[in-house]
Amino acid sequence: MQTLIPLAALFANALSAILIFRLRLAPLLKAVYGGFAAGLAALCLMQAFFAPGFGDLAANAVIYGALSYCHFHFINLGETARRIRILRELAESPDGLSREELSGRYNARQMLSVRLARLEGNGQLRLENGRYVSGAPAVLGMARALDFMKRLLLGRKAG
Amino acid sequence: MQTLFSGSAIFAAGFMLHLVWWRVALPRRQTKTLLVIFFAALAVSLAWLYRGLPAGELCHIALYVTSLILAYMITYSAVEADSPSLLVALAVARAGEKGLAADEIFALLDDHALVDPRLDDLLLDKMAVLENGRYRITEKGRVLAGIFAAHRALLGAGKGG
Repeated sequence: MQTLIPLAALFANALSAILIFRLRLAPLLKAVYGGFAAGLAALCLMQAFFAPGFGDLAANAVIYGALSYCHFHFINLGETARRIRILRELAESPDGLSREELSGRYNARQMLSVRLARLEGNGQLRLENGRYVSGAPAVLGMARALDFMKRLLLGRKAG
Repeated sequence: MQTLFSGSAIFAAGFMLHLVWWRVALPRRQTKTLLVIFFAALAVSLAWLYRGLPAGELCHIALYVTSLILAYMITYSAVEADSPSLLVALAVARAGEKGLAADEIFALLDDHALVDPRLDDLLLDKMAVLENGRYRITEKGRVLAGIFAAHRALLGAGKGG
């Protein structure tokens, strides 16, 4: 039973996120947060009903958190991953694509324009006199954490 | 508490092995090597714990460690391949109060920096092939693209990227 509780909570999370977004109750990121909250509530309820006890609750909360993190990134990969986007362009081209044709459909400038708008929209960057400056620290914090991991594991910095 | 302590110890052991291996020599197929390291650590540990714990507890430990491995693998993919959004955030932060204009960002992060490495990854992972100057998707690539396309259709979202 212990093993099934975080899996059922993850299912509740994914289903809630899809419903919230499909019913246009919230944009994608907020739908993912809403899904996480719904799954967490389901986890706590199931835990209290089937297996009360701090040790099991803590272990299942870690499992649920880790699987929800994977779920968030799975959605994020579909939204932003370059490899997935390139594969989808190739999948739609039975004769394949030359480098130039691919560049016409998907290129760094187009990708960065979307991301700059997204970063500015959620306050991570501010546009002042036509120049971007740092805004809220969340994305920058993630970037610095990954930069640290890159130096630790690969011995080189990001970029 | 058994799951929490044993599971965390197994994951930590796998991580230490990974850290030492990476500092000695970086493997060519990093993701595959990471999976082998972590799941080997899990299998050896479960075999060692087998006699002392009930099957349900072993399953719980296996799920605990697997969820941590998956979360780490997904984080590692961002370490291995620079995310454009994170690179933009770092570049803008490094520019300080002066900031960066959009054209300066476009010049810093061009197709060579953002698109070409991902195309090379697709070839290395056999998701695509390059034949007569044209990139074509393979069956393996089509399956992966199909999974994400199906999920985005379920969400009712666009192409992404």
